[in-house]
Amino acid sequence: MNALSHHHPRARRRRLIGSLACAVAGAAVLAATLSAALSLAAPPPASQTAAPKWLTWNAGTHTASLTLIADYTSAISGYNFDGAGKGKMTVTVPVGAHVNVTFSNRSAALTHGFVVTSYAKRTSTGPFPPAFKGASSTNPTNGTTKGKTEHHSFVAGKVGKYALLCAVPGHVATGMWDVFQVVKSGAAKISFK
Amino acid sequence: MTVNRTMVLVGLVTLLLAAGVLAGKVVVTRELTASSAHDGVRWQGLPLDGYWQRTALAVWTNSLLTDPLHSSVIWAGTNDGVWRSSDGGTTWRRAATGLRETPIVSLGATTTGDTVIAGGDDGTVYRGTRLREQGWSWQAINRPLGQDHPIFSVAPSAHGQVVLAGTFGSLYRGVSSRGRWAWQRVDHTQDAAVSAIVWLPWNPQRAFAAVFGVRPAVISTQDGGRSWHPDVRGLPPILPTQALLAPSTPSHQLILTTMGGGVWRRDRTGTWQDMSAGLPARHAMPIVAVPGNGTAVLYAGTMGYGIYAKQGGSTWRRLGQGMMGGRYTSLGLAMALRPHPTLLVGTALGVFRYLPPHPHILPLRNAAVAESR
Repeated sequence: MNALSHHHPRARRRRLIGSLACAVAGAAVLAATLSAALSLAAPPPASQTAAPKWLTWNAGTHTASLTLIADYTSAISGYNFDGAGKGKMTVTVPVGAHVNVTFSNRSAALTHGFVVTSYAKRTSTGPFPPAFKGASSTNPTNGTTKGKTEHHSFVAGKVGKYALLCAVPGHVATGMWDVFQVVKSGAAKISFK
Repeated sequence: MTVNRTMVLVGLVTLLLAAGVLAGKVVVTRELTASSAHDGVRWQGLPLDGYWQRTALAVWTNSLLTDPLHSSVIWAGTNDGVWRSSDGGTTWRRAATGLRETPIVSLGATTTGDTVIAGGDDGTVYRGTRLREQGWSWQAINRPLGQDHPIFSVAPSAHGQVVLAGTFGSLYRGVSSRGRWAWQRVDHTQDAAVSAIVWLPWNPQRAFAAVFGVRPAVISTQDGGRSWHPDVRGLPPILPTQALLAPSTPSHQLILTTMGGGVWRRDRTGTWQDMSAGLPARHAMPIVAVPGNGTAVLYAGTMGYGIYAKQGGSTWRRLGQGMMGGRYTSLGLAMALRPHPTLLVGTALGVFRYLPPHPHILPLRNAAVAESR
């Protein structure tokens, strides 16, 4: 009886500790599972994911590869390229550079297009003739819908300051324009204010 | 015998269908244009099953305006100056020979109808005044406001002594005194565009302005434009604002359109309420109101989703087919009531007008409704 009375509480304590450990472990597994499930169901917003490499430069082939994503963030209510508008992104390439643009649009509601045009056009309503042959998306006035990725190439043939803007009517007035600079020499680069 | 019976049946069915169309869908009324039974609501606006037709004005059109005095006269602010139609948009003539090739972004008119204000894309504000003989005289009434910034919005006061003009980052107020104009910056809007300005028809000292993409989205004045304050009760903090409309209706409502942030109605209490139901992607660009029997019919252009109409508490409904795609983005909208009621929309491709499915049954006398504005 004594022995029983002596061992019984210890055994109960062990069982209790065991149960608690199981519960904690179960909760941890459940939390991990839920967390994984949630992360699959809802991908993190663009600002939390690693940003694409917006620009790469191949000095050997004198080629700049530029990624342009319209409506990348909610900046300016989505009227932005790579998250920037109102001139806050500047793409700089040396004269004669081949520029390969990969263009897409994240907006489910609106079409967007891009064109590299005269810098003065950034405060204009349109139309927006390309400064270089091929320096625009397909039918830039109509815009490109979400889900399509376009590839365009052009040669930055003349030194100067240009505007990179959305040619869909009404969009540039919102501030959907950035800067495209062609300089005498050097490597291509991109900067954000 | 069998053939004869079949022919009689087909004839009867055809007659019944025709009667149904005439009785239930396109019944001409004395009010505005046509009424029809949709969702049990007696529709007083343009028939919804019409179509869009290109007009002779095929230049990039940023703004349209119905002349306050003559409902057959439509003004167009284009990338090639100001144009005017005196027959509801059928034919167009250059209205300001001195403004050839000058891009005009915005238009406004005094309620007296003798002055039209045009905002240029280089920051210049132009004033057109009616000459005693036929024709108009135009002159710049400012030095360019801002640094080559377009005048996105202009609004002359009822008699034209004060003009409000909005551009990137600033709202300006111009005052005429003895033929000279003095301009003052009356509000800063960071680097955002002042997308719309409207004077309230029922209070000559009150005006509202919409600001794109920064807070506050709407500002208002109670002293004729000298000072401005936020007016955003019920609104989201930031909106891609586009147009403001103050219809001349007893309800004293104010309507704000946005490029994806909803369409909002400000009631007498000063609270903004969402009225976007039925609009694709909750967005609208220009908007006009046409007074009807007790309630105005609203027409709103969208960014490549066509043109929509709304009456009272109903949802927005598509007006005709077509006008789809970014290049058909509605940049300006105006209602002409003579010689036939029709809606005109300005786009990058020029001006289009809306034609009802049965234009021959539209009565001419209905235009009288708009003359009371």
